[in-house]
Amino acid sequence: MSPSYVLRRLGTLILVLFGVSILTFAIIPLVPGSPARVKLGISATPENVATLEKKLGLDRPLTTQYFAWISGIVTRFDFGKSFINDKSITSEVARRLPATLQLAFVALLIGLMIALPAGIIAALRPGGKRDVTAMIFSQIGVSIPDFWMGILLIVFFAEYLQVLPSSGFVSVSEGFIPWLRHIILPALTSGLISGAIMTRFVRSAMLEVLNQDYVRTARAKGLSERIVINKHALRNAAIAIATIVGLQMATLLSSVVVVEIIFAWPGLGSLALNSTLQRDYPMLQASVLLFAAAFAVVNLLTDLSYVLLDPSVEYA
Amino acid sequence: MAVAVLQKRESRVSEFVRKALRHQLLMLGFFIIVLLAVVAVFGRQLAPYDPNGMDFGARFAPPGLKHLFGTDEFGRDVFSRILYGAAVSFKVAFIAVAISASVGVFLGAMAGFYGRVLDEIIMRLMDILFAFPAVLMAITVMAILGRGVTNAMIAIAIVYIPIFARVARGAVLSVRGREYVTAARALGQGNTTIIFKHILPNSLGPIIVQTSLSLAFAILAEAALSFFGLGTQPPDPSWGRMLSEGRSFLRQAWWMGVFPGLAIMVSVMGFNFFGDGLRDLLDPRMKKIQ
Amino acid sequence: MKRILGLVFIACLSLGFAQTSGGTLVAAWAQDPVGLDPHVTSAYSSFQILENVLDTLVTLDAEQNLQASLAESWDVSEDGLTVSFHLRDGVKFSNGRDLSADDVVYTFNRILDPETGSGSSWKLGGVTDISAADASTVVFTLEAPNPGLITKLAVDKTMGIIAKENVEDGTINTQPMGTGPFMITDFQPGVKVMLERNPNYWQAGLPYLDAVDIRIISDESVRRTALVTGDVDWAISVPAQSVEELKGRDDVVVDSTAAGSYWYIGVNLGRDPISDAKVRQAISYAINRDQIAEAATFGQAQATEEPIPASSAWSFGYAPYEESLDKAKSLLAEAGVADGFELEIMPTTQYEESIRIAQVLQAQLAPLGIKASIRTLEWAEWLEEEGAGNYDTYVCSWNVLVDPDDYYYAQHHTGEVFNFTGYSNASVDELLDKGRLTQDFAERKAIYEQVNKQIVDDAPYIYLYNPLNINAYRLNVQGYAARPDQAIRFVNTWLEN
Repeated sequence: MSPSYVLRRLGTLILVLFGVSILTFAIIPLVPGSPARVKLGISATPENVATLEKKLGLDRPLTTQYFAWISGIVTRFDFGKSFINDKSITSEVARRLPATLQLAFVALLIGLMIALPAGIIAALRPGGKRDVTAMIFSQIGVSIPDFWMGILLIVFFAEYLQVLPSSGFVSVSEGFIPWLRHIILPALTSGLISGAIMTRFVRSAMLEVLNQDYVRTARAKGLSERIVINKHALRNAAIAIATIVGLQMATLLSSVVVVEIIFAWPGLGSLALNSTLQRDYPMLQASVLLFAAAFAVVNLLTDLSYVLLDPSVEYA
Repeated sequence: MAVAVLQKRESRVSEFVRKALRHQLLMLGFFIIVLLAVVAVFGRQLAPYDPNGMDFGARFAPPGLKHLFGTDEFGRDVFSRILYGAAVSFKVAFIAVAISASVGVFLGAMAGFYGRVLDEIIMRLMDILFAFPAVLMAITVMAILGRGVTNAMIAIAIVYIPIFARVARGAVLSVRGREYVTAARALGQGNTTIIFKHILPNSLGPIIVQTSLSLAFAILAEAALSFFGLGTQPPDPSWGRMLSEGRSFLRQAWWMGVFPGLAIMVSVMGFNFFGDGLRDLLDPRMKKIQ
Repeated sequence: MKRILGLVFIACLSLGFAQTSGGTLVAAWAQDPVGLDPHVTSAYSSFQILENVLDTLVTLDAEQNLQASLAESWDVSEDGLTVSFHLRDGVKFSNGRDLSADDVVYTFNRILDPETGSGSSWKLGGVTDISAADASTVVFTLEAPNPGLITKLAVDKTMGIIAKENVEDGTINTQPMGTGPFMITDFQPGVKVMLERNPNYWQAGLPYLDAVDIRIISDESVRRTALVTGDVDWAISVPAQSVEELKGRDDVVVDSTAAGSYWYIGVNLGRDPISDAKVRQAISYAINRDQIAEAATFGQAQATEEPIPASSAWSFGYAPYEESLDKAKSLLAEAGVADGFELEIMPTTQYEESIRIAQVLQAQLAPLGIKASIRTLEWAEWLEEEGAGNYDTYVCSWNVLVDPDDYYYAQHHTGEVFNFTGYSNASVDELLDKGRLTQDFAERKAIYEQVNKQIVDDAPYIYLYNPLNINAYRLNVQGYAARPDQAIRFVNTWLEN
């Protein structure tokens, strides 16, 4: 992997993020309803609304607003202040991002814990009983809307069994066990669904590898199935699986919004949604930008991981 | 044009149909889709009750002979609403995917065929669109355009455009260098002719598969939009809306959420089976395995 | 037997000799506070938090009677043009600084300052000057006598007394500081607000709780689950459809009271054919309010044809619209729209209740030939459209109403900013102005009775029902009571072990 390839990718990444920032800035003011109106509510006079809009700087031309905003970010890493509650956006998103990342990672982990064994076992004997069972469960998982899955999990684990809290977030610093208890249900909601999706991909990746000549040769040599799978098949399916993991992580990042709302999870998704409803433009812009950044970084890491997994892949 | 090309390959088509008929998963998916299409078209005629008709004497009636799937908080017949809602879910899914597929495939094909600067510009634009969190994108689009089924379709379509562009670009790249393209060019055929006559028909496989899978996701996307109170205007039912509303009645009237949930599940499965089956038949790499 | 003993035991506790101090109450809120600056925000989710942080000069008790708070007493001059408030001694802000008359003057001048952009400045209409006569006396000078003013200072916390330094250091919107029982120690928008006991609180021995941990749980069914599983001790609201089920549980208390609030249909008087009073009356005759109340709130409301709830001393019991489709049809015929017309109903996603009302209305208006369509808008857009008059009819509620003036003036007086329907009636205006200046209860009631009759007859608002204010909490939460004004006060609350 040449440094120039990495540099070029980073350059593109920054370009894309700039594009995202312009896009958000251009389309958000098209949304009807003003932040001043939301803040002042039903009892505000038009003069009140105008005063507040001026205070928020909304009377300036859009380009002026954009350059003031983007230069704050570039020069001072300062995303400005919330229109609604005056909170520093930089510190708000800094608090929210880890919660979303934790949720996405644990969900991915759960997904992999389901998909790897299920996908591999299913691929060993295509059309067999285990394969059919795995595929049926995978189909069910893929076809359940996430909010519905979340509600069902809450009803079953929190209300019926009473073994896990129904909602909320506890940071790891307050103790690992409380953190784990709170993250299980939301992560399971996303994790079961992404596990179902990944099972299908892992299965087909394995199927492809198992049909390659070197696996046949290994089998013919009389090597045990375990060695064949571990030493030959898995290693060669790794790239395909890395692609899936990367894609899935990116999907998880953008789909956590619903799960965060259901479980009152203080992540970036619920922040972005709340900011949309309150027309808190700068807060929304910052969270969208961070989502896009996380998304782009995951994609970059996925591409770079190919090189580590398979030295024969070269990027000029 | 595409028809003409396909006719030339008649033997290939009939072989494909023969294979398809033997593929159980594909046929099951096909059967479900046909069944749902019938419901979507004739749902209104089939419905035993007016889907929006309220009956205050029969609120929260459990499933039974009178109301097959029970009634909701207004005494509306859940079964009739599901039949009626099929049309909404299908309309949203099909039109959204049609829009995103045509725009996405066009952009992707352009990028793949012309390459260089155009490729770079189109694909970076797609990256920007793709990096925007899907749910937020859809919500923002709907906030700008206003609520309603049509706008839900547009919102979902915009979210899927980059995916189609990527798939189409990949497919076009894989056939761009083939002999028949080089031959056509040598014969002096124009770019448009080459794209539509030679490249697109030969890269349709992945696009068709993606279309079928996107239909499944579009039905789920409609449900997600309904969760945020977007989508159809009340009282018109859609499955997503019914499921979303049913969630706070889970204890009083489980049927309000469970039946629309099942409807969504079955149709998503139908499209997935169909899409997976097509992939098995169309993806040359997969052929070896089967 | 065991149960009865339990009840007796609880009764003893509430007599007040067994309150236990300490503990943290975990409370579930439904909506994120929209900023915490009491003079700028108008969101009730914000005021319900500030209720425990700020004090006002005067306050309302659970029966909605005026009580002393930061002002120990007040007097009105003979001519009614000056009101003097005498401040309580020994009141400190939560940072330990003494409260002075200057703080009160600063507070009210801030509300009146157009730069603040306060949506509540109208409450001080007619106040020409606010000044400190001495360190503990604040004098309001008025243009004209205004007996209703004092109550306006007491309702919610829009008139909460704040400290100048709180505004100057820029933390008023994130961490407002007051003289109330609790202070805000952490505010994470959309997630939580932490209230801790104010060590300098002026009421000795209060509050009992060490802290209130407010968590925002927006999904109503999840909020219900959090309450029944004990993840939270107290919930601001639960889904109306689960109230009956929760009442049947032995670990949860459903605390409800008639709220000073009403739901109604607002009619745009500038549009045909609903500009004709006969058409509005026809609608009022055609609808079945009991069904609407039942479908919208699952029985947690009282259908009504006038705004003031029957539980109030100001209730008039005027109900001219006995449901009659025939009467409605003949009124439509008189108005020249016998065949019906198209009508748009505008509810908002902010209140699921309004969408349910709209659906029932649509069904109930169909037999009249009125083809109603529903346009559901998100809150931000709804506010814009209502303010701009872009609607036929909308569905909404007025809340936190105490004085009869609150029920009619801002909504129906000619030219008022909240008069969204465009209603204008000279005799109603005159009566409303007179009502503001009248002191005697019987005389006032007679005035408002006329106002009520005229507005119900003219039907710019078609009244639907008075909702209940419902809070639900675990059995061990003591010393809390749901209030008609929806204020949430934890000052006397404690947790039983």
